[in-house]
Amino acid sequence: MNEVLIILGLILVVVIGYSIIFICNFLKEMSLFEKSPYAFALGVGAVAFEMFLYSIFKIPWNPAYLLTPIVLIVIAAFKMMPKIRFKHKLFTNWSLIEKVILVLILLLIFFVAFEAQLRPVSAWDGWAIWLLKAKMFYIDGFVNPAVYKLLKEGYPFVINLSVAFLYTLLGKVDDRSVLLLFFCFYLFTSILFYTQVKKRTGNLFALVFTFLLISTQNLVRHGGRFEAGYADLALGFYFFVSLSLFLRFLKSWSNRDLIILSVILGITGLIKEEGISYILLISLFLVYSILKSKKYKMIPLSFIYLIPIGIWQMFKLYFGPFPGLYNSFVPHLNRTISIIYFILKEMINFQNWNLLWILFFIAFFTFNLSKKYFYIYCLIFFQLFIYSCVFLISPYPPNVHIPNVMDRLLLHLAPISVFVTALVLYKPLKILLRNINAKIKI
Amino acid sequence: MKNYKRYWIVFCTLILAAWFFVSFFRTFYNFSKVYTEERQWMFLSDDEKRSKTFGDIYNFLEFIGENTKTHDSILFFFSNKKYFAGTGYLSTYFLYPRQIYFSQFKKDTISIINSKKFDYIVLYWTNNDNSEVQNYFKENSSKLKTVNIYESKNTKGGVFKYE
Repeated sequence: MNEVLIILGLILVVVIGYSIIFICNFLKEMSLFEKSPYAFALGVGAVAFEMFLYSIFKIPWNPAYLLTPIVLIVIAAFKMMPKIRFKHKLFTNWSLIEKVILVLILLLIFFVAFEAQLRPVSAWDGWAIWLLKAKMFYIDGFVNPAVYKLLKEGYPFVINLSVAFLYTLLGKVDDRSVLLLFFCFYLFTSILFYTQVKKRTGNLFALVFTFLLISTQNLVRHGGRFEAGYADLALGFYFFVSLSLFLRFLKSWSNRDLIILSVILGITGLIKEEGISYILLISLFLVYSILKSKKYKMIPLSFIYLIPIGIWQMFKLYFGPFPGLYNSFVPHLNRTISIIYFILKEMINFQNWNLLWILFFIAFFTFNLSKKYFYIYCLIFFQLFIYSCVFLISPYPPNVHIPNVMDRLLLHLAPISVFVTALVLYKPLKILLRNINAKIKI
Repeated sequence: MKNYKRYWIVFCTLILAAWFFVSFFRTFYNFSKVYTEERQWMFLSDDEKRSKTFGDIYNFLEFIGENTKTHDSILFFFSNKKYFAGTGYLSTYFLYPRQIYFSQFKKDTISIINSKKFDYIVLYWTNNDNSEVQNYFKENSSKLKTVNIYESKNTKGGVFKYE
């Protein structure tokens, strides 16, 4: 029964996201299917922010109070919603290979959903950070600042409060059913990846790379098997949502695309602190592109993300300081070689990544001639650089710290990395296949 | 197309093909786990699954939960650090909103017990670990009012109040 209620709660989260999209007229030409990852991303942020604001204004977290504004938004969106046309041509033009890969993808998704429901939370960070704070906030009925001091960390609130939102709808804590939220990050990463690659290449190529990405064992584990409860897949999902919107904005130059991008950046910064460097670089690219094209009126819109992040920072300043791991910022430069060694060691960890990072680097060094992918590679390598800098100042030596966390840090970048690899390899592979076909015919 | 690049494309195609085949077989390998690994989990209750995941400490935390009230403050002493890494967070996770002060038992920590700031004292040790907490329990059992004693195959513990 709890699972059904949590599924209904998650559907509600997606409906909230759709409602925001319809009301603000975002992503106009996209189909409902293409919009679904954005709806989920916005919905998760919206419910978490609603919980946070209720806590600040001392409004009790009960379902009636929480659902009232949501119902009003959904009703308003329903009136603005365009007529939905269902395409009956689904799968009709698909080749046998495409159908087989689709079946493989669906098998994986089914397996991960099954795994997510098999066990209550068992991952360390799940019960020591994310679901622990969600449970504490739910029991306390507000974002209790004492919790951050007790747990000696100051991670932001989106994951905790979206879990607390589901607990509030359920009326109790159920740390097995709620893992479906983490499965949803896996599901919507798959959908977003497929739609984005399909748009730029074709159906077969998109299906192949979607299958390659979501069959990566590390994603499978974080989506449902054992490591469900960590926020890293969620951050990887938001990184990819932000990137797709950023690339969209660079094509459309529309205010609406800029607003939704900035809102998503704001949510990304509140998933985990590792997201801050990523959104700052995207923001820098945004400002640079806007200044270059002399559309100065767009500049304020590109900083909307500062509002949610600013509110969180003010909360931390007012109730803090919350203790953190990195109290000293003195870099240990003698660690550089071992940091590179341990990062590379994780990248070639076949058990976690199959051949993901090997193909990523080969594609980068061989075909990175196009300026088109400059931004994406910059984001990936900048983020890797930031993580390396963190290891330089870490209180733990690299041989202890990196093997413990690197698989999760790389998970943030995995969807983007497979995405750019797919785009870079598309043309050369197409030419190669065409040449082979021509030789066979001769 | 330059010659060297052609070789790289062929190389990339081979890696891609290898990756695909590995993923293909892993998908079915994952599915096989439903029968081989997960079958034993399927028919257990959530409590039994937690007990299987976290071991005896989960049963002991349940025991504490049953013998204390939700807003009590608890002084939780365990015997040996190496057996209890992370248990502080785990006890907070399962026992919240009870306030848990979680620490390894040492001679100088007796002063915390004597301060009587807590509603309950919880002691927990493993049988094969001849520790100070066990000795303290033996020497001071008359000074502590026993609320309930917990015993399992390898561990022993109890919930106590100040006499």
